[in-house]
Amino acid sequence: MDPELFNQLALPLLDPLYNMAHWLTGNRSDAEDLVQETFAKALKGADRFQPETNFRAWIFRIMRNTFLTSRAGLAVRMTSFLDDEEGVEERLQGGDTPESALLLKLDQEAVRRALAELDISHREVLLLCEVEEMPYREIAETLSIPMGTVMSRISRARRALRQLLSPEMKIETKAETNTETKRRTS
Amino acid sequence: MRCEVFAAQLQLYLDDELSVEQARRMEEHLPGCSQCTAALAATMRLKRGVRLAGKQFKSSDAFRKKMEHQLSSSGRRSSWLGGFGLRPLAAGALALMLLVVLSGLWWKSARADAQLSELIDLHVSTLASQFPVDVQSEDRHTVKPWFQGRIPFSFNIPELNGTPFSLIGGRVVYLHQTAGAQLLYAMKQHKISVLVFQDRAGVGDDAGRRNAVRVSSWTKDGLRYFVISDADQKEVAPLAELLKAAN
Repeated sequence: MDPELFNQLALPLLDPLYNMAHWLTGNRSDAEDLVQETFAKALKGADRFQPETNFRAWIFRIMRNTFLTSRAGLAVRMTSFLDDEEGVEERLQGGDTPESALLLKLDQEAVRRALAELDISHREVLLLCEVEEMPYREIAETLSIPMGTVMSRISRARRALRQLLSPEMKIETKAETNTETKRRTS
Repeated sequence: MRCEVFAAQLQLYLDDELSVEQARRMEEHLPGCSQCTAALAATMRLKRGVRLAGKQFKSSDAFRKKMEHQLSSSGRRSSWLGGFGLRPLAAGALALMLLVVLSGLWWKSARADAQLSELIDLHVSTLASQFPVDVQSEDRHTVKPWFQGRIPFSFNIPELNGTPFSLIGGRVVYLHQTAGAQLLYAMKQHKISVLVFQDRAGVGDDAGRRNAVRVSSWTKDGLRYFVISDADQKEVAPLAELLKAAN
């Protein structure tokens, strides 16, 4: 790939990559090292990038693989990146009026704490979906997993996050409990 | 369609992963179903919360500058050779080729430098000699025949009437073991040497200058001419033109 084109594509992704790197590693210094290594690897392998494919997915994948092969990454890999092939199982939620649910704003600090607490594979897929606004296909490409797995992983990640945010999400939690109770009694 | 099916598709709907037809059906279902609408709102809140909280780390200016520098310098390095599509082996070959060309140029330049010195030495030694010419005559019809049989070529000596130049005479000289003709001219207080050799390998077109002595050169019909003098180049130039016109 032409070095100028590489710079044009890579530099705007510096902050998104850094943000994800910080979420993966947990601190500034490791995040900077991870981004730096990602850029170096991407530059080195730029000839292997196929122009018709997605550059963002490609470079995020390089960063993810770089992280997973690092010492910190190997530790989380043992516990968190076991694949989840089960189908999409969504539980019915509700029980409250949409107006009250919309009016209730989530405390950002609470979400941040919950995200940090979340299993790293769930955190990662939610950040790609919500922060990077990647479509499922691109997430699948980035994480090298099938589309079905992307769906189920996002679904489970949201559920896990809701549980961590249960005081904040008490409406939903109560609603879910009601639904579960109804299901069990019916 | 049952409500559970819509509920299962809510996240896909919010993530914009449903087909146009599926999304249309969802939008028809939602206004009449409070449960799905509430679940939709809750997931929307969650999405928004993650988006705001998740986008919280920004690289420092120093790190950004460092990365920009790293990328641009890598770009320059790779474009230097990458622009030519060269691999390291080819780059090595290029370096070797450059070395050969540069040493060739250096050799040529060193050789040219040596020849220039030799030409000027011929001129200066002629001036210093007690007998600077072997044939002394102002008459070109005397000087030209004298060279016959002494040099392996023939050339014309121009008519000088009405010019500031006068012919002193001539002699045979050698450059790179090749015989040539030297004509000595006078112009005011200056002496001008005209050297004529066969134009072949070994005799370069050494125009140049060493101290106050200037050498101009040209080639015509297989002969190489040198005009050497310490006089002003502009004043010497007409003699060169006369020689060119005569040959």
